[in-house]
Amino acid sequence: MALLTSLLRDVELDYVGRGDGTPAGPVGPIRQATLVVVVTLVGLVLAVGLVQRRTDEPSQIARRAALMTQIESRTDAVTQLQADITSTRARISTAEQELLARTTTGAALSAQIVELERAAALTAVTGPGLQIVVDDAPIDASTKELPAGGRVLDRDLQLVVNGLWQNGAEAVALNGYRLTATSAIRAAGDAILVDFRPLVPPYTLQAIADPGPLQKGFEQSAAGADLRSLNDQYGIRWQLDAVDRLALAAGATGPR
Amino acid sequence: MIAAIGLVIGIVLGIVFQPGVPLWLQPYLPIAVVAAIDAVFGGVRALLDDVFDDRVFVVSFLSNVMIAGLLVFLGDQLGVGGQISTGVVVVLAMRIFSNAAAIRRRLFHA
Amino acid sequence: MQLIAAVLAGLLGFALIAATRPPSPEVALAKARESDLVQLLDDLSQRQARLEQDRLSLQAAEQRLTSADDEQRLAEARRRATSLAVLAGTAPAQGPGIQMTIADPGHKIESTVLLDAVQELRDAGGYAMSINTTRVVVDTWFADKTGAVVISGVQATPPYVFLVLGDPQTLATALQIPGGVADTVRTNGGRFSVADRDVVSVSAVVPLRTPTFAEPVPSPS
Repeated sequence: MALLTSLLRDVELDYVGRGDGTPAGPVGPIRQATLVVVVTLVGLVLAVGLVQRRTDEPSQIARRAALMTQIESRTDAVTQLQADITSTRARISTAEQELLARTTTGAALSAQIVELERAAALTAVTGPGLQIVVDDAPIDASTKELPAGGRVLDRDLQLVVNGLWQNGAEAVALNGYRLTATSAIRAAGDAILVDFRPLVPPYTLQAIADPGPLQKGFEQSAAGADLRSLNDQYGIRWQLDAVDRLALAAGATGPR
Repeated sequence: MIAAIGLVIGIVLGIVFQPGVPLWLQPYLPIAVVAAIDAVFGGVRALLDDVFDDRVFVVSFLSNVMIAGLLVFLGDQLGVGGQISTGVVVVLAMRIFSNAAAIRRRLFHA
Repeated sequence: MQLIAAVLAGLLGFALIAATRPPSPEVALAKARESDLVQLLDDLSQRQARLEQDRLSLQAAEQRLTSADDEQRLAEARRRATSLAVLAGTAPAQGPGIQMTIADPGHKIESTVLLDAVQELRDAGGYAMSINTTRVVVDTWFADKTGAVVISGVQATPPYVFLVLGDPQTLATALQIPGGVADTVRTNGGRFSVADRDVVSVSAVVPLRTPTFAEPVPSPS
């Protein structure tokens, strides 16, 4: 605090004259001229800065707008592609099963494919389990912003997911997106993305498993400890509930 | 007085001629602008408080701009250019606020 | 004067409410820096390209399925089964990719570094990978133990050798972006090296397990 007050005091005195009776106005032509030149310089800098900003800003705004449009259209395209892929895969699956059922080798292969699809998280599943909701810290009433460190990070969610798998989860979804072997949780700026889809807090993780052991194991694991310490230190909120029946969608990523 | 006219002339020149800023100077422009605003407020406050000294004004402005520029340049070399830039702007802004408040008190008694 | 104060207070209340509403996804990205947006767009484009490839091959597979004889269908089904098995981690796989090694002489690399690396590799298109002798699949988890890391229950000691199948360029680049895996490893006193290969052989597999609690939902078709 002392540093701040002394800083303010020193800073304040910069443009103040000596105040000891020496003449205030410029005496003599040299000093007058110097003053005029410097003051003109001040005005020049102000004007140049202003002009620069005015010419910069439109192009920056335009660039950003172009980027956002592109991102939106590609996100839409990706969503459409993923929907197409999911439905095509479902049709292939059914067609295959029907066609292969005609031969014994075919039937065995078909059954194996169903098993493998399930193992690869490509089928919708349902069952009992756990739901964990993680949210940013509440907005500070005085600053009207998130407190420092109060934003949930991608690595926080990665650790929670890790803790769920570690304690016996059989299927996991984040904000409705099923995690597969190619799903990645990462961040772009302040937003967290899963499979390139931006998410908005609160973040809901759903895991199908035996609810009792999963809950107990998770709370005692490093992930549970991490969430508790995030809450203690930064106010990040989280809630864990056992759920009788969860329905998780099929994953949209697939094999080549 | 002469100083005020000089300021206006400078602003007009800047708007009319729109001198291009060379690329290597671009990163220092924001700092210079804030220092210029600071100079204006500091000078006006000194005038109102009858403690304006033209030598102090000239030396203060030039040295502020040069030191700020030097700090940012050094910061860029060390990889903390953005942070130093922020720090300089914060300190100058604090002083602008402080001077503006003093001017306000002097003019409006409120 | 009191009226003005009341109006200001009302504006403050409005602003408080407006600020505390959850933002839409567009707003979530509104605060990202331009360079982040460019990176995101780049990744999205790559993702789109990969998905378009996937859709094409799936459509071709569906085509083959409906217009083929028994023999062809069996071959097609076998091909799909192999692809699925690679994704599920139950079959070995080969193809272009990278080999990445993290050496940890100071024993300071924690499991979170490996977890992060896996996320980064998946994001860059890695579709089959193993660390030392353990195959990495969807439910692979990481934990710490003194002097080593536990991967899905199996102890792994440094150096950690990653074998990853995918586009070598994309994978290698993703690991070496500033602040990425390579940087994190070096900051923690480890040594990082990556080499792209024409053929990477991921031979580690996981057993095919039938879940006890997750039951498939019959798909509407």
